[in-house]
Amino acid sequence: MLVKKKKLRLGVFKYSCCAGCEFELIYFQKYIRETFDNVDIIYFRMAKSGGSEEGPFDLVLIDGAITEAWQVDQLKRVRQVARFLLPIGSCAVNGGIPAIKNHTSELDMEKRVYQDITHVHSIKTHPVDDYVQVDGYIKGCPMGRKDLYEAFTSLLLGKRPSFVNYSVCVECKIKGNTCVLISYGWPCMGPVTNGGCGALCPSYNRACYACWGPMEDANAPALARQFEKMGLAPDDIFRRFTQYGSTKPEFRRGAELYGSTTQPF
Amino acid sequence: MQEQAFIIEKDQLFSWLEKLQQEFLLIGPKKQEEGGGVAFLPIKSVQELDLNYTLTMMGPQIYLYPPEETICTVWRKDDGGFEVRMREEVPRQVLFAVRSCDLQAILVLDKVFLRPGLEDRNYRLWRENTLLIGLHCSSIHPQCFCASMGSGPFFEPRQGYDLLLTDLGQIGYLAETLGERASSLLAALKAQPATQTHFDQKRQIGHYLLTQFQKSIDTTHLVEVLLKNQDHPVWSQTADQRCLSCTNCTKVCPTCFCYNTKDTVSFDLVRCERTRYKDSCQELHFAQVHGANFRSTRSSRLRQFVTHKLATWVEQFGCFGCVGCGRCMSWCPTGIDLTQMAKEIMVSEGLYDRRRQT
Repeated sequence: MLVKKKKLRLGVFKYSCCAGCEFELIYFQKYIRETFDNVDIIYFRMAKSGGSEEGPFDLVLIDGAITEAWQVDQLKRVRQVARFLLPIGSCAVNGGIPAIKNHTSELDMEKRVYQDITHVHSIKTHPVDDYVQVDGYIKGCPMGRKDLYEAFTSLLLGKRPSFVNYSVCVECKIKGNTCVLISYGWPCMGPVTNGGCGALCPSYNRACYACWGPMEDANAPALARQFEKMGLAPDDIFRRFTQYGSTKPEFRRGAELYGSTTQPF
Repeated sequence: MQEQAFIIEKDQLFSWLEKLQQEFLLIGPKKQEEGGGVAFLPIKSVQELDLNYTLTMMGPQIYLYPPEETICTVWRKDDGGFEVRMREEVPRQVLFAVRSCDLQAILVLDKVFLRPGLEDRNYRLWRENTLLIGLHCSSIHPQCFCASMGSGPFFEPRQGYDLLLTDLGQIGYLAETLGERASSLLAALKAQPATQTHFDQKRQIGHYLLTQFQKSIDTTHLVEVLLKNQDHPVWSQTADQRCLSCTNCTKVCPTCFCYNTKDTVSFDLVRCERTRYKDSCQELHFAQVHGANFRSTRSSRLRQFVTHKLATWVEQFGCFGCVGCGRCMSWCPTGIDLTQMAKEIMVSEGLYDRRRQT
């Protein structure tokens, strides 16, 4: 007497990003059979040609940040035909790498990258939840497999998923890593960064650079000031807090102390 | 309980440990590679032991109460029922060279997890399969304040451990046993019984160590004062300016016992694995219940940590929750010092005499 199975109708939409999160989905190899047993792909351009944007979807995964107006329109349409919508990866969750450009004026940035900007219609970078309501976040760069697994199985069970919401430090302590911030005096972003990566960089004696974006309610100003005490230059501190996820107030508050940020709105 | 005291020569002790390794997994302080500190790790050869360590990041308690542990697996059976598989056995282990503060912390964990009627199954399993060997400190780390908390530098309670060692220099170790298990394991050594001179020597070392502390806290009125000052500005100031809510303090604290459980279900929804992991009151979601969060502000969470360790624990378990190991302040990225916060409160109450204490 097993739970009655109905295949989940999945949609994956990609906006501005490196597509690494979509690859992560394709490379979800360990569970590839289980995934296809339980999931019908309705729209997923990188994995399947054709498909319908119209849905309806049980689960929509949004990959990438919003940097063009057409993406906003599509996103809003998709939200209305999706039962659950989750941004996947740092770009969709926090603006990620594309949000680095937010602190330079749009035209200057376009000219720096393209010779001819007549076909560029970009706007400031926004995370997905600036435009539509989301049902959770699968953080990571690329997105964390643990959280992806949790999202799929929770949906199959009909329960609320429990995503990783603590700092990277927690995972360092579980692993018993030497603290790179305290023992070596390196500017590790771990204390304010959302965990889930298994403290990957500190496990290899490198300082965390916050690629998963801020932990909820992180106290970035306090860490930024600590970096200053440790001798980091204002520019470096500013870059640490704007490299990933500067669209989120948690990190922006840290960056603001050491450089001028522009708020996307 | 049976108590005996011997003098064991250093070489003798190490060869005894090597023999123990045939039956037990030996866990002791070991210097980590690449400039890392000393950590409690499984020991292959006794040469790896670093017995002069003062402070490890994680206490030896992680081998009694792992920071992450699978507690059971539940299988859905074809007839609609469930089958629960619990952990049945754990490796037999020796925790070697545990300092006084950590022995005290284990006593505190015993009070939490072995309460009659509320016993924690896994903790008992680990605890019963562990031979606990203490080793008194021979130097004091600048962050230590165990003397203030009554948990060091020498371990006074006659409970909890199997064997307690004090380094008497060239003479060897003064070894005090507790209980049958240690006595029978030591019998093979045919060690000399310790005499009064040895205990006098031990006392002298103790007196010397007491002069070495750089940090202290006056516990005389601590409980009342902290409970009276729930709205003291030190909480919000420290929380806003320095606390990162990274939870490091609680993760390294040897008496922090809070845990949360997480269920991981297989894709076919047949098998469910329940993992428990050490939770932390410093995390935003810790006090989240339906509709509200009891500690949504950072200052309320920081206050919870300090007042629980230094005040409310006494009412709850009859002892302090802080053993004075100094880990929380050593591994805090911004160096928040709970003795300093307590002192600031005492100063504002006119209770703290700067001349008397360091």
